[in-house]
Amino acid sequence: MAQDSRRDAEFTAFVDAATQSLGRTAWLLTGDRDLAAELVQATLVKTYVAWARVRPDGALAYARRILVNLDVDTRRARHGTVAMAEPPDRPVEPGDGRVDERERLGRLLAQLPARQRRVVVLRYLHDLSEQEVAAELGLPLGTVKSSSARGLAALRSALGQEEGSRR
Amino acid sequence: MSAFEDQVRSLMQADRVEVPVDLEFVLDSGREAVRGRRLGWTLAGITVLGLVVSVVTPILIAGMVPAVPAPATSPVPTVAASPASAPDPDGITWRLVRWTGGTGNPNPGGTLLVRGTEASGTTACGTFTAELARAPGSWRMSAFQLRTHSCPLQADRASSRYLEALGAVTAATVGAGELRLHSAGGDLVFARQ
Repeated sequence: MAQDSRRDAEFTAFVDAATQSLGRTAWLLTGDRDLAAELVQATLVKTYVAWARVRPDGALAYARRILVNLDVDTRRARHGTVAMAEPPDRPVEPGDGRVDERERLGRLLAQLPARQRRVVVLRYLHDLSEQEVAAELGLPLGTVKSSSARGLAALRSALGQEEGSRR
Repeated sequence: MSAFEDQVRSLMQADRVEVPVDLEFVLDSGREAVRGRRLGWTLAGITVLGLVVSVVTPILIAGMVPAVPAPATSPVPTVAASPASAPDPDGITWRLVRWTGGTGNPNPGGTLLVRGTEASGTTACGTFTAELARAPGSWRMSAFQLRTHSCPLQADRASSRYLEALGAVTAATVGAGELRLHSAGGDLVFARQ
Protein backbone atom coordinates (compact mmCIF):
# COMPACT_ATOMS: atom_id res chain seq x y z
CA MET A 1 0.00 0.00 0.00
CA ALA A 2 2.75 2.44 0.96
CA GLN A 3 4.52 1.52 -2.23
CA ASP A 4 1.39 2.30 -4.24
CA SER A 5 1.00 5.65 -2.52
CA ARG A 6 4.59 6.55 -3.29
CA ARG A 7 4.08 5.49 -6.88
CA ASP A 8 1.00 7.70 -7.16
CA ALA A 9 2.81 10.67 -5.65
CA GLU A 10 5.81 10.32 -7.95
CA PHE A 11 3.63 9.78 -10.96
CA THR A 12 1.40 12.77 -10.21
CA ALA A 13 4.50 14.96 -10.06
CA PHE A 14 5.62 13.53 -13.37
CA VAL A 15 2.24 14.23 -14.97
CA ASP A 16 2.39 17.84 -13.82
CA ALA A 17 5.81 18.24 -15.38
CA ALA A 18 5.27 16.26 -18.56
CA THR A 19 1.74 17.04 -19.67
CA GLN A 20 2.66 20.21 -21.55
CA SER A 21 5.40 18.50 -23.56
CA LEU A 22 3.35 15.38 -24.25
CA GLY A 23 0.28 17.45 -25.12
CA ARG A 24 2.16 19.59 -27.59
CA THR A 25 3.69 16.48 -29.20
CA ALA A 26 0.32 14.78 -29.40
CA TRP A 27 -1.33 17.80 -30.92
CA LEU A 28 1.38 18.18 -33.56
CA LEU A 29 1.18 14.48 -34.39
CA THR A 30 -2.60 14.25 -34.55
CA GLY A 31 -3.61 17.77 -35.49
CA ASP A 32 -6.71 17.26 -33.37
CA ARG A 33 -7.30 18.39 -29.81
CA ASP A 34 -9.55 15.51 -28.79
CA LEU A 35 -7.33 12.88 -30.36
CA ALA A 36 -4.34 14.51 -28.69
CA ALA A 37 -6.05 14.37 -25.29
CA GLU A 38 -6.93 10.70 -25.77
CA LEU A 39 -3.39 9.95 -26.88
CA VAL A 40 -1.85 11.68 -23.89
CA GLN A 41 -4.17 9.94 -21.44
CA ALA A 42 -3.52 6.52 -22.94
CA THR A 43 0.20 7.29 -22.84
CA LEU A 44 0.04 8.26 -19.19
CA VAL A 45 -1.88 5.10 -18.25
CA LYS A 46 0.73 2.93 -19.92
CA THR A 47 3.50 4.92 -18.28
CA TYR A 48 1.82 4.45 -14.89
CA VAL A 49 1.67 0.68 -15.39
CA ALA A 50 5.37 0.61 -16.25
CA TRP A 51 6.35 3.17 -13.63
CA ALA A 52 8.35 0.70 -11.52
CA ARG A 53 10.65 0.10 -14.49
CA VAL A 54 10.95 3.70 -15.59
CA ARG A 55 14.03 5.66 -14.55
CA PRO A 56 13.04 9.06 -13.18
CA ASP A 57 15.43 10.90 -15.50
CA GLY A 58 14.18 8.94 -18.51
CA ALA A 59 10.47 9.07 -17.77
CA LEU A 60 9.64 11.81 -20.28
CA ALA A 61 11.53 10.11 -23.09
CA TYR A 62 9.88 6.81 -22.17
CA ALA A 63 6.42 8.38 -22.23
CA ARG A 64 7.18 10.11 -25.52
CA ARG A 65 8.15 6.78 -27.11
CA ILE A 66 4.87 5.29 -25.88
CA LEU A 67 2.98 8.27 -27.28
CA VAL A 68 4.56 7.98 -30.71
CA ASN A 69 3.96 4.22 -30.81
CA LEU A 70 0.35 4.71 -29.75
CA ASP A 71 -0.05 7.27 -32.49
CA VAL A 72 1.20 4.68 -34.99
CA ASP A 73 -1.21 2.08 -33.62
CA THR A 74 -4.13 4.52 -33.60
CA ARG A 75 -3.54 5.52 -37.19
CA ARG A 76 -3.39 1.89 -38.26
CA ALA A 77 -6.66 1.29 -36.44
CA ARG A 78 -8.23 4.27 -38.19
CA HIS A 79 -6.99 2.98 -41.56
CA GLY A 80 -5.24 6.17 -42.49
CA THR A 81 -7.99 8.65 -41.70
CA VAL A 82 -6.31 12.04 -41.66
CA ALA A 83 -7.39 14.44 -39.00
CA MET A 84 -7.58 18.06 -39.98
CA ALA A 85 -5.67 20.44 -37.81
CA GLU A 86 -7.71 22.19 -35.23
CA PRO A 87 -6.18 24.65 -32.80
CA PRO A 88 -6.03 23.54 -29.20
CA ASP A 89 -7.68 25.45 -26.44
CA ARG A 90 -5.69 28.47 -25.47
CA PRO A 91 -6.33 32.11 -25.01
CA VAL A 92 -6.16 33.63 -28.44
CA GLU A 93 -5.59 37.29 -28.79
CA PRO A 94 -6.93 39.02 -31.86
CA GLY A 95 -4.25 39.75 -34.41
CA ASP A 96 -1.78 37.32 -32.86
CA GLY A 97 0.32 36.54 -35.92
CA ARG A 98 2.32 33.75 -34.29
CA VAL A 99 -0.85 31.91 -33.45
CA ASP A 100 -1.94 32.09 -37.06
CA GLU A 101 1.41 30.78 -38.16
CA ARG A 102 1.37 27.99 -35.65
CA GLU A 103 -2.10 26.95 -36.70
CA ARG A 104 -0.95 26.93 -40.28
CA LEU A 105 2.01 24.80 -39.29
CA GLY A 106 -0.29 22.38 -37.47
CA ARG A 107 -2.55 22.17 -40.49
CA LEU A 108 0.34 21.55 -42.85
CA LEU A 109 1.92 19.00 -40.53
CA ALA A 110 -1.33 17.07 -40.58
CA GLN A 111 -0.98 16.76 -44.32
CA LEU A 112 2.46 15.17 -44.14
CA PRO A 113 2.81 11.39 -44.25
CA ALA A 114 2.79 9.99 -40.73
CA ARG A 115 6.45 8.99 -40.64
CA GLN A 116 7.64 12.38 -41.89
CA ARG A 117 5.42 14.11 -39.37
CA ARG A 118 6.83 12.06 -36.48
CA VAL A 119 10.40 12.69 -37.55
CA VAL A 120 9.85 16.45 -37.98
CA VAL A 121 8.04 16.76 -34.63
CA LEU A 122 10.70 14.86 -32.69
CA ARG A 123 13.49 16.65 -34.52
CA TYR A 124 12.24 20.23 -34.13
CA LEU A 125 9.86 20.20 -31.21
CA HIS A 126 12.11 18.15 -28.96
CA ASP A 127 15.44 19.15 -30.50
CA LEU A 128 16.49 15.53 -30.88
CA SER A 129 19.40 14.70 -33.13
CA GLU A 130 18.78 12.50 -36.16
CA GLN A 131 20.44 9.61 -34.32
CA GLU A 132 18.18 10.11 -31.32
CA VAL A 133 15.10 10.24 -33.54
CA ALA A 134 16.21 7.04 -35.27
CA ALA A 135 16.64 5.33 -31.91
CA GLU A 136 13.31 6.59 -30.58
CA LEU A 137 11.32 5.58 -33.65
CA GLY A 138 13.29 2.42 -34.33
CA LEU A 139 14.10 3.57 -37.84
CA PRO A 140 17.37 3.47 -39.82
CA LEU A 141 19.32 6.72 -39.68
CA GLY A 142 19.04 7.11 -43.45
CA THR A 143 15.26 6.86 -43.27
CA VAL A 144 15.19 9.54 -40.59
CA LYS A 145 17.40 11.83 -42.64
CA SER A 146 15.33 11.42 -45.79
CA SER A 147 12.02 11.73 -43.91
CA SER A 148 13.24 14.87 -42.19
CA ALA A 149 14.43 16.44 -45.42
CA ARG A 150 11.26 15.56 -47.33
CA GLY A 151 8.99 16.65 -44.51
CA LEU A 152 10.77 19.95 -44.19
CA ALA A 153 10.72 20.49 -47.95
CA ALA A 154 7.01 19.75 -48.06
CA LEU A 155 6.36 22.24 -45.26
CA ARG A 156 8.49 24.91 -46.94
CA SER A 157 6.70 24.36 -50.24
CA ALA A 158 3.25 24.44 -48.67
CA LEU A 159 4.01 27.53 -46.64
CA GLY A 160 5.47 29.20 -49.73
CA GLN A 161 2.36 28.41 -51.74
CA GLU A 162 0.16 29.83 -49.00
CA GLU A 163 2.30 32.95 -48.86
CA GLY A 164 2.07 33.27 -52.64
CA SER A 165 -1.69 32.86 -52.71
CA ARG A 166 -2.06 35.52 -50.01
CA ARG A 167 -0.21 38.01 -52.13
CA MET B 1 20.90 25.06 -39.69
CA SER B 2 18.65 26.92 -42.14
CA ALA B 3 16.44 29.82 -41.27
CA PHE B 4 13.43 27.72 -42.19
CA GLU B 5 14.39 25.04 -39.72
CA ASP B 6 14.70 27.73 -37.06
CA GLN B 7 11.27 29.01 -38.03
CA VAL B 8 9.71 25.54 -37.74
CA ARG B 9 11.39 24.94 -34.41
CA SER B 10 10.31 28.30 -33.10
CA LEU B 11 6.70 27.76 -34.14
CA MET B 12 6.55 24.31 -32.63
CA GLN B 13 8.06 25.33 -29.33
CA ALA B 14 6.24 28.64 -28.97
CA ASP B 15 3.31 29.15 -26.64
CA ARG B 16 1.54 26.71 -24.42
CA VAL B 17 -0.67 24.02 -25.83
CA GLU B 18 -3.44 23.08 -23.46
CA VAL B 19 -4.38 19.44 -23.90
CA PRO B 20 -6.68 18.50 -21.02
CA VAL B 21 -5.68 15.47 -18.98
CA ASP B 22 -7.97 13.85 -16.42
CA LEU B 23 -5.46 12.78 -13.79
CA GLU B 24 -8.01 10.81 -11.76
CA PHE B 25 -8.99 8.85 -14.85
CA VAL B 26 -5.34 8.16 -15.60
CA LEU B 27 -4.63 7.00 -12.04
CA ASP B 28 -7.77 4.84 -11.84
CA SER B 29 -7.09 3.23 -15.20
CA GLY B 30 -3.46 2.74 -14.31
CA ARG B 31 -4.25 1.11 -10.95
CA GLU B 32 -6.76 -1.19 -12.61
CA ALA B 33 -4.23 -2.19 -15.26
CA VAL B 34 -1.59 -2.82 -12.58
CA ARG B 35 -4.03 -5.01 -10.64
CA GLY B 36 -4.90 -6.91 -13.82
CA ARG B 37 -1.25 -7.38 -14.62
CA ARG B 38 -0.48 -8.62 -11.10
CA LEU B 39 -3.39 -11.06 -11.31
CA GLY B 40 -2.16 -12.24 -14.68
CA TRP B 41 1.35 -12.81 -13.32
CA THR B 42 -0.08 -14.64 -10.32
CA LEU B 43 -2.15 -16.94 -12.52
CA ALA B 44 0.80 -17.49 -14.83
CA GLY B 45 2.99 -18.30 -11.82
CA ILE B 46 0.46 -20.78 -10.48
CA THR B 47 0.21 -22.41 -13.89
CA VAL B 48 3.97 -22.69 -14.23
CA LEU B 49 4.25 -24.02 -10.68
CA GLY B 50 1.59 -26.63 -11.42
CA LEU B 51 3.42 -27.72 -14.55
CA VAL B 52 6.73 -27.93 -12.72
CA VAL B 53 5.19 -29.96 -9.90
CA SER B 54 3.46 -32.30 -12.33
CA VAL B 55 6.75 -32.91 -14.12
CA VAL B 56 9.15 -32.95 -11.19
CA THR B 57 7.08 -34.97 -8.70
CA PRO B 58 7.04 -38.21 -10.71
CA ILE B 59 10.78 -37.82 -11.25
CA LEU B 60 11.41 -37.36 -7.53
CA ILE B 61 9.15 -40.28 -6.64
CA ALA B 62 10.88 -42.45 -9.21
CA GLY B 63 14.21 -41.50 -7.64
CA MET B 64 13.08 -42.44 -4.13
CA VAL B 65 11.43 -45.78 -4.93
CA PRO B 66 13.91 -48.68 -5.11
CA ALA B 67 14.40 -50.03 -8.58
CA VAL B 68 12.41 -53.10 -9.47
CA PRO B 69 14.79 -56.07 -9.87
CA ALA B 70 15.43 -56.99 -13.44
CA PRO B 71 13.65 -60.08 -14.62
CA ALA B 72 15.58 -63.33 -14.53
CA THR B 73 17.63 -64.06 -17.62
CA SER B 74 16.43 -67.64 -17.76
CA PRO B 75 15.02 -68.47 -21.19
CA VAL B 76 11.81 -69.53 -19.50
CA PRO B 77 10.42 -66.89 -17.15
CA THR B 78 9.84 -68.76 -13.94
CA VAL B 79 8.79 -68.11 -10.40
CA ALA B 80 10.03 -70.14 -7.44
CA ALA B 81 7.61 -72.89 -6.59
CA SER B 82 6.16 -71.28 -3.56
CA PRO B 83 2.46 -71.58 -3.07
CA ALA B 84 2.44 -68.04 -1.83
CA SER B 85 4.26 -66.40 -4.73
CA ALA B 86 4.14 -68.67 -7.75
CA PRO B 87 1.37 -68.84 -10.30
CA ASP B 88 -0.90 -71.55 -9.03
CA PRO B 89 -0.26 -74.84 -10.85
CA ASP B 90 -3.12 -76.55 -9.05
CA GLY B 91 -6.09 -77.89 -10.89
CA ILE B 92 -4.31 -77.88 -14.21
CA THR B 93 -3.51 -81.03 -16.14
CA TRP B 94 0.11 -80.67 -17.13
CA ARG B 95 1.41 -82.70 -20.08
CA LEU B 96 5.05 -83.79 -20.10
CA VAL B 97 6.79 -82.37 -23.17
CA ARG B 98 10.49 -82.59 -22.40
CA TRP B 99 12.97 -84.19 -20.02
CA THR B 100 16.31 -82.44 -19.95
CA GLY B 101 18.07 -85.09 -17.92
CA GLY B 102 17.24 -88.07 -20.08
CA THR B 103 17.36 -89.10 -23.67
CA GLY B 104 14.16 -87.93 -25.15
CA ASN B 105 10.71 -87.95 -23.60
CA PRO B 106 10.65 -90.57 -20.82
CA ASN B 107 6.97 -91.00 -21.15
CA PRO B 108 5.18 -89.56 -24.11
CA GLY B 109 1.67 -88.83 -23.03
CA GLY B 110 2.55 -88.64 -19.32
CA THR B 111 0.52 -86.11 -17.36
CA LEU B 112 0.51 -84.58 -13.93
CA LEU B 113 -2.30 -82.99 -11.92
CA VAL B 114 -1.72 -81.41 -8.51
CA ARG B 115 -4.34 -80.41 -5.97
CA GLY B 116 -3.04 -79.19 -2.67
CA THR B 117 -1.06 -82.00 -1.12
CA GLU B 118 -2.07 -84.58 -3.70
CA ALA B 119 -0.54 -85.32 -7.07
CA SER B 120 -1.93 -87.64 -9.69
CA GLY B 121 -1.48 -88.35 -13.36
CA THR B 122 -1.10 -90.85 -16.09
CA THR B 123 1.75 -92.88 -17.51
CA ALA B 124 1.98 -94.93 -20.66
CA CYS B 125 0.79 -97.92 -18.66
CA GLY B 126 -1.76 -96.59 -16.19
CA THR B 127 -2.44 -93.96 -13.56
CA PHE B 128 -0.79 -92.92 -10.34
CA THR B 129 -1.32 -90.86 -7.21
CA ALA B 130 1.23 -89.45 -4.77
CA GLU B 131 1.53 -87.20 -1.77
CA LEU B 132 2.87 -83.75 -2.50
CA ALA B 133 4.83 -81.68 0.01
CA ARG B 134 5.41 -78.08 -1.11
CA ALA B 135 7.25 -75.29 0.60
CA PRO B 136 9.03 -72.24 -0.73
CA GLY B 137 11.85 -73.59 -2.87
CA SER B 138 10.86 -77.19 -2.26
CA TRP B 139 8.63 -79.65 -4.07
CA ARG B 140 8.65 -83.33 -3.17
CA MET B 141 6.38 -86.19 -4.15
CA SER B 142 6.27 -89.47 -2.28
CA ALA B 143 4.05 -92.43 -1.51
CA PHE B 144 3.31 -93.21 -5.11
CA GLN B 145 0.44 -95.57 -5.73
CA LEU B 146 0.13 -97.10 -9.16
CA ARG B 147 -2.74 -98.59 -11.09
CA THR B 148 -1.33 -100.21 -14.17
CA HIS B 149 -2.47 -102.39 -16.95
CA SER B 150 -0.47 -104.67 -19.14
CA CYS B 151 1.52 -102.81 -21.77
CA PRO B 152 4.52 -103.32 -23.99
CA LEU B 153 7.85 -103.64 -22.26
CA GLN B 154 9.30 -100.45 -23.69
CA ALA B 155 6.27 -98.46 -22.51
CA ASP B 156 6.49 -100.11 -19.13
CA ARG B 157 10.13 -99.02 -18.78
CA ALA B 158 9.31 -95.50 -19.85
CA SER B 159 6.49 -95.40 -17.33
CA SER B 160 8.85 -96.47 -14.57
CA ARG B 161 11.46 -93.85 -15.56
CA TYR B 162 8.77 -91.20 -15.44
CA LEU B 163 7.66 -92.16 -11.97
CA GLU B 164 11.27 -92.37 -10.78
CA ALA B 165 11.94 -88.93 -12.18
CA LEU B 166 8.88 -87.56 -10.40
CA GLY B 167 10.09 -89.13 -7.18
CA ALA B 168 13.47 -87.43 -7.52
CA VAL B 169 12.02 -83.94 -7.94
CA THR B 170 13.18 -81.46 -5.30
CA ALA B 171 11.89 -78.14 -6.59
CA ALA B 172 9.57 -76.65 -9.15
CA THR B 173 9.08 -73.46 -11.06
CA VAL B 174 5.87 -72.35 -12.65
CA GLY B 175 5.87 -70.05 -15.60
CA ALA B 176 3.44 -68.86 -18.20
CA GLY B 177 1.89 -72.08 -19.40
CA GLU B 178 4.81 -74.12 -18.18
CA LEU B 179 5.61 -76.23 -15.13
CA ARG B 180 9.21 -77.23 -14.67
CA LEU B 181 10.14 -79.84 -12.05
CA HIS B 182 13.78 -79.87 -11.05
CA SER B 183 15.82 -82.83 -9.89
CA ALA B 184 19.48 -83.73 -9.74
CA GLY B 185 19.02 -85.77 -12.85
CA GLY B 186 17.46 -83.01 -14.93
CA ASP B 187 14.22 -81.12 -15.44
CA LEU B 188 10.83 -82.44 -16.35
CA VAL B 189 9.11 -79.82 -18.44
CA PHE B 190 5.32 -79.79 -18.65
CA ALA B 191 2.94 -77.68 -20.69
CA ARG B 192 -0.72 -76.96 -20.04
CA GLN B 193 -2.80 -79.59 -21.66
